[in-house]
Amino acid sequence: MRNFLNILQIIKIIVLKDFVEEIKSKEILISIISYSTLVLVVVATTSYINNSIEIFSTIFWISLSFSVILGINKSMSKEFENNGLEMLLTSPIGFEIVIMSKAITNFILISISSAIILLFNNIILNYDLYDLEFIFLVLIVNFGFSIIGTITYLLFSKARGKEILSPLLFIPLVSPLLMGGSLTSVQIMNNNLEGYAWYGLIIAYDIIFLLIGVFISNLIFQE
Amino acid sequence: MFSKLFTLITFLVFIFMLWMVFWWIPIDISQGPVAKTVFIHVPLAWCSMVAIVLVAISSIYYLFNKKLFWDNLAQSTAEVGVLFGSLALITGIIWAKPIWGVWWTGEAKLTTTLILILIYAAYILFRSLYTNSMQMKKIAAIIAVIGAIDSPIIYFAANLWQEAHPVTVIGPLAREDSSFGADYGITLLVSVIAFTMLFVILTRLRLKILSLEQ
Repeated sequence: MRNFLNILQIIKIIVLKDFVEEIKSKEILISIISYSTLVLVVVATTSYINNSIEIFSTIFWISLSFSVILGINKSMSKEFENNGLEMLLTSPIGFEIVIMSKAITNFILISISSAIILLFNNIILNYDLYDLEFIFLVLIVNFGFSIIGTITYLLFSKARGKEILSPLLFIPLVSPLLMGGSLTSVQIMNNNLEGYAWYGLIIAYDIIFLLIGVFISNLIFQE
Repeated sequence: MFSKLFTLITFLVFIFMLWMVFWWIPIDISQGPVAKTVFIHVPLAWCSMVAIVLVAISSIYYLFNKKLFWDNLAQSTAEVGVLFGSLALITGIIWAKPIWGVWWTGEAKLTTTLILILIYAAYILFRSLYTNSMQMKKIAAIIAVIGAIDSPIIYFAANLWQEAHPVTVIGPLAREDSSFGADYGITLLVSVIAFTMLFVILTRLRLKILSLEQ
């Protein structure tokens, strides 16, 4: 129990450190929000359909997933600047705790950004979607995004062309989340939610990748 | 000597399979001649699934004992698997157009197969872009194992989403009896054997080239 509390304390310190840095620079939030807004602007200027349920769901998930790639890359690359990650790894903290902390930081940042993206989506596409079931769906999908994004960035962190490789693995890996997210959001918007099977599947997928993150942390950071 | 004999047997099995596909079995009444793509599509898809399992097993072995053979085996099977998987998708598309009326649908089995091919394409690309050899092999093995986690989704996808792809008629998740006759079943079995033998030959060749390079 005491160990668990210690772990939580360490995670809290790392997450707070990242937040203080983000409050100072605001780089990640600005890049995620501005990129997703750009996607929305492109859609708004190229499409005449502005209130279709399918297009709302598709655009929301496209803008979110692509801006998340940008945000996570930014968040993780900041840790590599000035050997920040190396310093963190030399401290007496388990490698898995470092991965968890980074994933939690990314999750919170993505969730704040997705709230703003949803607001912009609602305004530009003339919708009014603030359903609790939808918000919970976005949160569990965001958790998957953050843990998978953190893992893929760390896997490719030392490779040439990591900017290409990271999304190339990230998008295929999050596609079950995107499938579930888009199908369920269309059902919610139609007031026709067919059970919570997809929620269970998304949470299971999140847990699988959380365990993978814990399991491979030693292998990633060993050298 | 053994490999030459194996190649010869594979060649003969292929000839026999082609004879069965084009001369022995009749043309399907409902689907027409295009139904015969199943004898290429299914074995290719089967081999790509086998490849994924082999990549995952050899990667796990490599992570535990660091023997170069397992890493080479993972790379060889991944490359051949991506080739077979891509061909399975292409033959599926050729079949889909006259039967479904579209080249591609957002159906789960198609999408997840494409996803798997992309994951293993990233795996192959990563291997060619990373410079640190030992670290690269280790991370490549991790990517392969992660990719293998997605592979069961392909098999269960049709049952989860239940859309356009024909339902599973063979295996534990089979839902209905196959509409194909016994002659179709035998021909399919022979073509699966023929393509599996080809898969073994190609993987073995790639493995040999890799060990010669090293």
